Amino acid sequence: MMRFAHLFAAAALLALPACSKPAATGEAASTEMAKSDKSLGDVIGGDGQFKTLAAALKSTGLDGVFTGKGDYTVLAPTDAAFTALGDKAAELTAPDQNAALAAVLRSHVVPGMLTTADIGKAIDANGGKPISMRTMGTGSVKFARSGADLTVTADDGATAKLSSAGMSASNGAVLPIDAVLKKF
Amino acid sequence: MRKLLSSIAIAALATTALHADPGGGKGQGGGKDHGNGGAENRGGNGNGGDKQDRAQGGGKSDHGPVAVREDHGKANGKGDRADGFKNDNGQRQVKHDWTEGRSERDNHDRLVRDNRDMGNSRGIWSEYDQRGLVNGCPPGLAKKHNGCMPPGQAKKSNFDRYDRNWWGLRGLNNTSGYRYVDGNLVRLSSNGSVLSYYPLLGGALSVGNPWPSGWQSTPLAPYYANYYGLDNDSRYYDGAIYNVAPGTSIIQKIAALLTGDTFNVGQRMPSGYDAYNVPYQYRNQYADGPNANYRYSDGYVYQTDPKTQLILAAIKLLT
Repeated sequence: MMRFAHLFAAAALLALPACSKPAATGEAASTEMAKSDKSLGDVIGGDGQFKTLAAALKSTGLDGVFTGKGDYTVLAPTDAAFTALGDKAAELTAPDQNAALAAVLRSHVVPGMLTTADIGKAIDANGGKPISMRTMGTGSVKFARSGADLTVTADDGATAKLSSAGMSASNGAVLPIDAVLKKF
Repeated sequence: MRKLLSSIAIAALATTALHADPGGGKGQGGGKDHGNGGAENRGGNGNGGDKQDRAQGGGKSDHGPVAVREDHGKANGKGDRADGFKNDNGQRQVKHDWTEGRSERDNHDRLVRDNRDMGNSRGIWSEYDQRGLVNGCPPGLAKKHNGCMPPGQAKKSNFDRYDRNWWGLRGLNNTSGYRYVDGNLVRLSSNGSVLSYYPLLGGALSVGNPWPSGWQSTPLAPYYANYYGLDNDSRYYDGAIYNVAPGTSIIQKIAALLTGDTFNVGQRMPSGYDAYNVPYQYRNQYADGPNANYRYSDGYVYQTDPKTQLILAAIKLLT
């Protein structure tokens, strides 16, 4: 747990106001993100709810991906989501387990820019049924409605709620989620 | 705003199908010498003999410059060609290779160019991902331990028990049975020594580490180097692009993550692209409509038919 606490404490950084608006499907579906000049790495690193994620990206070297030119959507577990892992968080963020951490992180990345509005429209177009999006792991995630919320479920059944409408970046989008999308 | 240098494979390509047939046992372009010193059930060099039934054609041997060839109307309606690209009911085929700008062109120049680029990327990714384990001892472990014996309990990982899909890996043949040692997944002998290894993103393949000596350099297609803004030596490995320092082979940057999915004009869009995901700067230009949808993956925007989900065109996005 010490390493986890260390990562948490050592993480960045400049606080950007995160969009705290819930990702309610009706409203989110009509809300487009504003254009941002900040990279995904800067948006994640500058948001106070992603300190653990930002530290994890740095320790695995994946921060270079999100400050580069490729476009991605990061399903971003909040600090509370990592905390909810309990002892697994400490294990996952241990210095000699960066490969496992990278494996977890890549399954939280979707190609291109995906907004909650896009997700809502796709679910509508699919008759209200869940829709699937590819990840940078070997599988996909499914987005669905759960009451007024949007949820995302990994292939292994790990599920999270989209906790806000997210933030745009110059090279994609960040969609905060309230759980880590990986079963341990 | 990125400047768009687009080239669009012409739509309505019912007569043009390029079959890379990922993982389906047919159609990859017969590569060999892709640089791994060993292979997991792959006859020692990563091609042939693959239990995943990715049969290789007998074509080209590496990713060096080879002229692109287009074969009009030569399809026999069934079966696979020696170059690995499957015929499909008399449809025209295009043979792909790395080298951009080289082709035996005809009056379908524009179409050929774009199809070739698509095939380049997709065929190559899946081909690379067949390389499997590297025989021998991971470089770091060899220096630290005699006889390539893995370190003690302190270096073991509770993540050992997870399979290749948990790790998000494409290139391992078997789903499980690996151990995690020093940033690699490994196979152990009966006496506990390492027989072979698979370097991992964020582990052995970390910024500041040398590129594993068991893996020869493999070039990145020029389009990807341009798209991701990579100037130096860049290498693809299992869903990621690494930037490596010239001369030293030290990993400087993990530059990109890729799905590695295969997209072919005339075929259905792969699963997992249900929602509109075009990057911000291209949304005005490529917006979904009644006649076309657009989806992004790995540096391309794909135009699809909303009704059939067939891919109508691949659009290059260059800065």
